[in-house]
Amino acid sequence: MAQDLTSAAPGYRHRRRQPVLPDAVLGMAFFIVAEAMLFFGFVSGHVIVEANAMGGWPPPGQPRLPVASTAVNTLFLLASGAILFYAGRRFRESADAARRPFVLSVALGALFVLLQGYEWQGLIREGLTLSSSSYGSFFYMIVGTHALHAVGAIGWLFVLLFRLQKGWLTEESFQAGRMLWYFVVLIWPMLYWQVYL
Amino acid sequence: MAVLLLWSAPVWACPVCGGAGPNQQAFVDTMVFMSLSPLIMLGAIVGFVVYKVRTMPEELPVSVPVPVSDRVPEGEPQV
Repeated sequence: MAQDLTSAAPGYRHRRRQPVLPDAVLGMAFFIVAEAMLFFGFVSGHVIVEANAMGGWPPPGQPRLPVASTAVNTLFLLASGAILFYAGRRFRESADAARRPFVLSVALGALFVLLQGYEWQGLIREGLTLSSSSYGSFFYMIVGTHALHAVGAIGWLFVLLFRLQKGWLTEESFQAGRMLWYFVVLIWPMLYWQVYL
Repeated sequence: MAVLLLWSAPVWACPVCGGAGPNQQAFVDTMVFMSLSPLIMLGAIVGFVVYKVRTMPEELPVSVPVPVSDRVPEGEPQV
């Protein structure tokens, strides 16, 4: 029989304890740890294979990655994260104050994904595919997984934006959504450094 | 994700673990990195929760004794 933990014992006035962390935030923190390990595993595999490459890295005959244009794209992503941080600060004042920076942040994130897709088109045309070499495999696996996370996070941010418009957005769910986007933003420089440089 | 995994070209990382030279160093480095990363991240979360519990205000206990004068006799509705 389940014990009713919400009722107070006789002689005691019941008060619900304030949660140490909101459930959504704690759950997101553990999810991010798991996702970070996924990326760390990819990066570790990349480091080992790169060290094992006899003919140099990138392998001869493989197209070079667009380092400069992706660096600019990285700035868009970092700006998106910074603006979302600002939106979070403004949200504590009022929902209206957060709307504009929130929209701008999502737009910059979407721009990052679109530019990544454009970059992929060029690389595929030059012959870099998932099965062309281990170089291509690692590139699409690592960058593609990050892009999947970015798309998923942007989708969730759209949901949060809709809830903001309707006045349903709570600080807890906004905080959890921001955490996911910060993860997408902050892990990217490490991936860029490992894969592109 | 499954499509990506199945489509990718296979690479063999296992031989480097027993070999000498820079490959083995890469293996050792990543092994240490992969071993410590989850411990550090989970430790940071647990540490943060412990810190928050310790710094929580004391006026929010699970339940507090009610003075005898405020107690409601059994059978009467609680306000």
